Amino acid sequence: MTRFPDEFEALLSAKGKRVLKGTHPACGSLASAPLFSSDELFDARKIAGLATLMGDSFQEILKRQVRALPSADAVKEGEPLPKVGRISTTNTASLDGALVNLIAEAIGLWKMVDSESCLQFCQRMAGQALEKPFTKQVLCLRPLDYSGPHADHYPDHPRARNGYVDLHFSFTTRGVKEQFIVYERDGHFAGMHSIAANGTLNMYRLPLWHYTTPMQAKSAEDRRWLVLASFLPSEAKESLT
Amino acid sequence: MAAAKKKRSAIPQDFSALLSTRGRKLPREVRGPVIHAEGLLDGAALSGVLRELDAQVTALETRDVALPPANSATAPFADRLPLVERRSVLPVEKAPDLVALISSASFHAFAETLVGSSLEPSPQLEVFAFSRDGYVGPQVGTRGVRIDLTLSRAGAHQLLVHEAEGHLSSALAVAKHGTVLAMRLPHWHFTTPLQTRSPKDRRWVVRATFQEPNR
Repeated sequence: MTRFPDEFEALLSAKGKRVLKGTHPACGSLASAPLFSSDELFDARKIAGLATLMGDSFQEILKRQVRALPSADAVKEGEPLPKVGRISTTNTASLDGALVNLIAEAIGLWKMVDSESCLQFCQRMAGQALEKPFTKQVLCLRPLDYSGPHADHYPDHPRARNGYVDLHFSFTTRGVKEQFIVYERDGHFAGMHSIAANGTLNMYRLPLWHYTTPMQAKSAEDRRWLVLASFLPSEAKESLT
Repeated sequence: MAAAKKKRSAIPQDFSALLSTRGRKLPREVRGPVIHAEGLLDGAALSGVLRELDAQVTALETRDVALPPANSATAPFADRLPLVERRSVLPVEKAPDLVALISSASFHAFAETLVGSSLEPSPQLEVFAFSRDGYVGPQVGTRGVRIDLTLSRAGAHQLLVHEAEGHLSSALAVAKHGTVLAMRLPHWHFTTPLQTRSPKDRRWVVRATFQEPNR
């Protein structure tokens, strides 16, 4: 496969297409739960080559983003943990970020994420009208990469500070064995889903406390490629049809 | 009328009664900050201890510290997570047999062999239980060498994620019955929410914390 389809719908399984039609039981699930996760909404045959396409397209461009732990000997017992993590991505405002955007356009990724069916899918899950994504990002996880606890709150963003919806979907190489997302439920880190399967799709209502466990894989060459898009609630008085 | 005979506890006074054949032959080696071992304890003997602990469920005291609001950060990427947890603690006075167990000479010898260094006698005992979705958030812990013995039902799953090379990048499955975990603190670590087959299942942890001479 050399490029993504123009429409998000083209990658969906029968169950995924039921989301688009509004007949899947998960429709509107973000109205009652902060996170939805499934590895059944993409058609396995249609996404089979996408981890390779992502690797060929972005492997050389993404930069390691590393926030290490403070020294355990230097912190006092009970001291809060700052955001830590280890992942590959780019700052969207940087030159590298611009290059990622150019490549994502060239392989049709951004066109698919901006497609009507992608927006419709996210609106169905959120149970509310959304605007087209205001942020899109490509991330890559290598073995033992992770994101420490964080809530993705952006108090300086005039609208996202009041809440937004995230779509994450990932394509993994065969050797990726285990990674979990743990998230806030009823005030505690009580929700947990596996996110290691190829074609896992997560939707979140943010801000929300969450983290991922270190990715376990067979070989150092294994990767989990993650595409992220953020959506604001529509300001227009639209209703879902 | 003769007084009712007190039922004998399944918790032995001497820790060596809980050891498997492999546990008795453990070589003394200097090891890293976290040691995770299975098969060192005798499953049948440990199941007796589990039954004794399950009988103490009504004595458990909830320790519940919730997450701060998700919108509490004052700048992007400025999240700061305080210690959060959800577990239940058994008051030590409700577990005199376990105090005797971890105070035994055989447990002290086992702990020194496991971690590969000398330890002060008289460890501090903590006994607690995770119910389904119970967990402890990231922390460095109190200075010392901690030995955790896990007692649980089949199907329990919980990861201990701990620091490796400056990151929370090492994960161990710690919920299996009879797992022994040793950790030299302070060291960053946390547990994921406990997954269980039955909503009533628990992961019990008998924890002994030793101090090391000259540390």
